[in-house]
Amino acid sequence: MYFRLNPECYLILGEHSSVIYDLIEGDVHSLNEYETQLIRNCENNVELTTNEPLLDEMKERCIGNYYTTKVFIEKLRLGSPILDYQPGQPPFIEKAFLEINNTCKLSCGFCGSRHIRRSSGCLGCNTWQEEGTPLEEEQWKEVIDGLSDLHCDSVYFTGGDLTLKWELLQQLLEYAQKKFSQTFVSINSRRFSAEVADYLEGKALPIIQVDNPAHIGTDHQFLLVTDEREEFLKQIRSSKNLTIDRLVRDASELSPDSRLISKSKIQKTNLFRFTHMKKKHPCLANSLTVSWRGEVLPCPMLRRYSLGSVKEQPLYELLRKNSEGFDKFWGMCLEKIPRCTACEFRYACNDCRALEESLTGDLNGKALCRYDVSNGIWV
Amino acid sequence: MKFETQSGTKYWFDNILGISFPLNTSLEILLTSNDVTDSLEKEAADHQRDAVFNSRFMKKIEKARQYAHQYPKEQITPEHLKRQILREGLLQLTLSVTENCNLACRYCCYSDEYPNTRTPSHKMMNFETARTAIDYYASLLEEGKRFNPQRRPSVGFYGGEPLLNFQLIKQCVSYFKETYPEIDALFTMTTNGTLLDREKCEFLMAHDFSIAISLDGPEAEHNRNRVYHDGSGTFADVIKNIRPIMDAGYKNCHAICVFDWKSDLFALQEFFNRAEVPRISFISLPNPNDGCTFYQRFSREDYEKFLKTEAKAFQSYNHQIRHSAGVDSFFDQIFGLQAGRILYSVPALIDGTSFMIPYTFTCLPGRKIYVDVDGNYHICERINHTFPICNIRTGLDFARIAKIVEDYRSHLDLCPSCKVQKLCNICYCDFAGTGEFIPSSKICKNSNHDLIKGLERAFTIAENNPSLPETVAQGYYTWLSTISTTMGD
Ligand code: SF4
Ligand code: SF4
Ligand code: SF4
Ligand code: SF4
Repeated sequence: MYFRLNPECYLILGEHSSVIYDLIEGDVHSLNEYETQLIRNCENNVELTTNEPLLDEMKERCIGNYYTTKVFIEKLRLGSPILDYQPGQPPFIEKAFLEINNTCKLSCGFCGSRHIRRSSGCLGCNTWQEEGTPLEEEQWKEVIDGLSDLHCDSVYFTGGDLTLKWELLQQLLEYAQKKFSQTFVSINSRRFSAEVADYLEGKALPIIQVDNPAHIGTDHQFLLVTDEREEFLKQIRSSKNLTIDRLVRDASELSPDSRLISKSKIQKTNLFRFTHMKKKHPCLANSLTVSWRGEVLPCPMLRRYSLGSVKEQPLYELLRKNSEGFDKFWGMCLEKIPRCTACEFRYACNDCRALEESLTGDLNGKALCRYDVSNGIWV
Repeated sequence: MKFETQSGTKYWFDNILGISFPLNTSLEILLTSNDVTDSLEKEAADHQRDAVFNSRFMKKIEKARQYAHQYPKEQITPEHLKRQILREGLLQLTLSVTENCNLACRYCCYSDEYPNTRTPSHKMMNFETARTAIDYYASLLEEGKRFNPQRRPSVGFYGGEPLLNFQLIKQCVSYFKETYPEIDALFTMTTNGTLLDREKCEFLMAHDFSIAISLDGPEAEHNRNRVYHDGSGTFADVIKNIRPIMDAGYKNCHAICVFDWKSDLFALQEFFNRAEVPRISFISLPNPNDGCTFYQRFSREDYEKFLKTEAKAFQSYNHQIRHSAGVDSFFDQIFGLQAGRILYSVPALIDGTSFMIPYTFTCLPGRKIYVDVDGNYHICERINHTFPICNIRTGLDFARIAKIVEDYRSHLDLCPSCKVQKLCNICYCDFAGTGEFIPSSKICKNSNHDLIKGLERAFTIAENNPSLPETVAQGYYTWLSTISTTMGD
């Protein structure tokens, strides 16, 4: 008798333990050392000689099944891997951040200009202590055209305080109409008014940055910038329209159960996410940022890694000439991060490269994790 | 669709997911019945554990099927098509530099065996035509670079026998390089090899040509079909002529091999494994469509004998791969790669392309541009000349292309009910009549059978060596991408 995992269930080995990814139900099942050895043998078509309750249970849960002969299990997958061997395919851009302003009269304690580390800073607004001249309206329009021709899916307009550049924002939102499937605008709650909401209606979805949980409403997307403890965050996390942007001074100050370092950072899987994570970085992939002065960055928070400037060359030229530069960030799957290479969670985990880089000073660093890969335990 | 491997294991090919999975009896009942809840009762007699597994598995399959690619149903507009061509197409400009040929190969698609295609003529392309086509291609690349900055263009020379117009090839290469130094194009050529002298070899190597040589195997095999007009074989000349290329260790030279019902597959295996013989890039039987009469020369016994040899070769391959992986031989090419294609090239579920033809495996016209000697544009070098997509005077006619795609879609009458749609590898060329497509119900008599046989073989191979199909496919396609920008289609 043989036992094999189903087409939709993948066994991913780690240094010590392993995980089964169920791409349809989304579950990520951890296996201990013994179980790992057992399933690994099964997957290698080793004949079963003993009764294994684990296998019965897996059959019951529809993860794998018994077979009387050596069968071939064709795995469920997305697309064709053969396409990947074909160079010269058009690049696919999923999201682009357009930082159309670098000024603000507010003085939030967590603003990028203060070198504060935040876990989802890219979704909020920031100003930066940078020299240079801002891009003009026409240059932004050329960027928007370029993105549209490259089939970019979503665009995030961000600043600074966009109400200080309200006219520019209006022009660009008009110009971007129908070119992308989604358009977002980041704005501080103190600048968000009924008028602003009215204007954005039907044109863009606001992401409202708040620092007081009491200001979280129900009819928009909110980004809560906070350094609250996990117990508190747990209570409010359930609201669907809320992203938590945790302030992180230092990895050691986070409580062991923080979402950023504990087992709860492991997410559900699915066909898309699994396929994506095998080759790409969870959020940097297929994304780019055009800074207020025209620099193309891998993300709004990775300020030191310029991929070129749209003042010198159009976006498509940068993508052609510096395709290696883009690939380096887009293809930074966790397998390439030394700490994660041999971790079985590498296709289900979360990662903010900007935050890790800022904490460790190393683009490939990893400070936010309490999983001991060599012993297969969360510490 | 159910099929069985040589070991007797039954599998189910799921036409929506594009994958197959092993069957047990009750699962088979579930899959063949339309109403899942109703058939659940049918298998009540089955073992409890199986019943639970099967019903859960079916629910999972249903969930997975929802990710299947949805093809656009709306009319295709010329504007949309143009944008898509600028983004995904323009991979190759192929110039047919002559319709003349110094050979009279028996299966040639321009011979009397193919009444629907053009016949050989003494026509040569002139430089003016070639230059206009090149300029137009370059202008499209310029317009298209903002849609796909990473495209790898190529310029191919085709015939007849292109070396009969070597002068034009040289002119085109220097014109292209001088006029468009910023375009990094790959040059390709398909030749019968009989006119390759040292000068030509050196020219082709100096310009990094991807050189496709028609070579059908050892002398007896090659000379059965590849002959001069007087009927004498060309093998000795071809082998002598490619020596300088092979001796130089030149990487971009490869063989295109055609075999037929008289071929000795074991002799081909021995021949193509020799170090001094170029690696095979494409292998096929002569095209049976386009009114082909070539196969009439074979008797029933010939065909049966061929099937026997083929089955024997398949057995021998399976025996071999149990012990060694990735043997990189001729049999890998015909069996291993075929398995790799079936298992890994089928775009399962959402395939990332925005393609608008739901059935068959055809390209986007404009992916390539084929220019005949008179300056007419065609979808590719394989399709007969009654489906032009315009000419050097007017450029591509996107409205006409949209109409061709619409016409093609409307002739796929059998396909919606086809149980192996996802595996289909048929394209425009196979459906081309004279100026009109032939419905799939007329063309597609045996495809189902062939595709299912392909599945049976692919799974037999994969049972014997699970990693082999992917290894072979990966090795092949990685290599192919260095000698072709269109992955050979
Ligand atoms: S509103 Fe945004 S840009 Fe302004 S200070 Fe606060 S974080 Fe910085
Ligand atoms: S951060 Fe890396 S090592 Fe830690 S759980 Fe995630 S993938 Fe594993
Ligand atoms: S690495 Fe990703 S999550 Fe982190 S700031 Fe950049 S885009 Fe946002
Ligand atoms: S009916 Fe024939 S042409 Fe149509 S999808 Fe099936 S195999 Fe392909």
